[in-house]
Amino acid sequence: MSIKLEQLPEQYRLGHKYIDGQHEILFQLFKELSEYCKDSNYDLDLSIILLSLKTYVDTHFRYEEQLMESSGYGDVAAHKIEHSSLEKQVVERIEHFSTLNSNDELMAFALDMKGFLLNWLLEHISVTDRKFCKSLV
Amino acid sequence: MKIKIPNPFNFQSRKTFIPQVKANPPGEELILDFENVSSLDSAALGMLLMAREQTKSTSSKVSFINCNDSIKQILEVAQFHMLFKIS
Repeated sequence: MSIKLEQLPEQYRLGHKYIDGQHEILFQLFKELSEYCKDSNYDLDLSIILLSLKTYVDTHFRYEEQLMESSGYGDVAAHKIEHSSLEKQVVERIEHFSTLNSNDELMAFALDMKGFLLNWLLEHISVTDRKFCKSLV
Repeated sequence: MKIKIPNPFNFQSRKTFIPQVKANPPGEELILDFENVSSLDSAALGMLLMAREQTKSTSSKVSFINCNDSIKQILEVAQFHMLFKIS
């Protein structure tokens, strides 16, 4: 049984059931951020969406790293460095988020965070994850 | 508090699901009953992650009960067993 891919663009699908499924969930959470940006009376606080993203980015990265280690992937160290760099930046941004007060500031933050994470992940999937998935074939 | 999850569990379920999650009393375990669920999509999986953070903010935990094998497989692909108690 697979997760139906609805949000993950075709060109970012890597043919690995688990990795594609987890990327699909991350894209779904990006959609939540977009919906929040369209409607300040959204039914969830921005902090809940951001923490969900952070939690799931961490969960997904640990899955990939375990798979790399168990499959004997040669570039695991470099891949882990990319992951920890993003995790550090996300933590810093969430710390900054906690200092914001006005609705305009929150909206600007949400838009910026979405752009930052989306660009990072698209680049990471296109190059680093694709290379790893090819090694599994 | 127990919530009976609707079937299918998808973006359309959001209007009822999120208010139910928010109504969970602080400190009380939120039990999500999947007995009637035979399909769930990525929007539903995203909602479950947000339910986890929402309840965590009130010192509560979320657990899933009555998941059939198909649902368990999807949750395993998503690695949700790392985040939730599933039975």
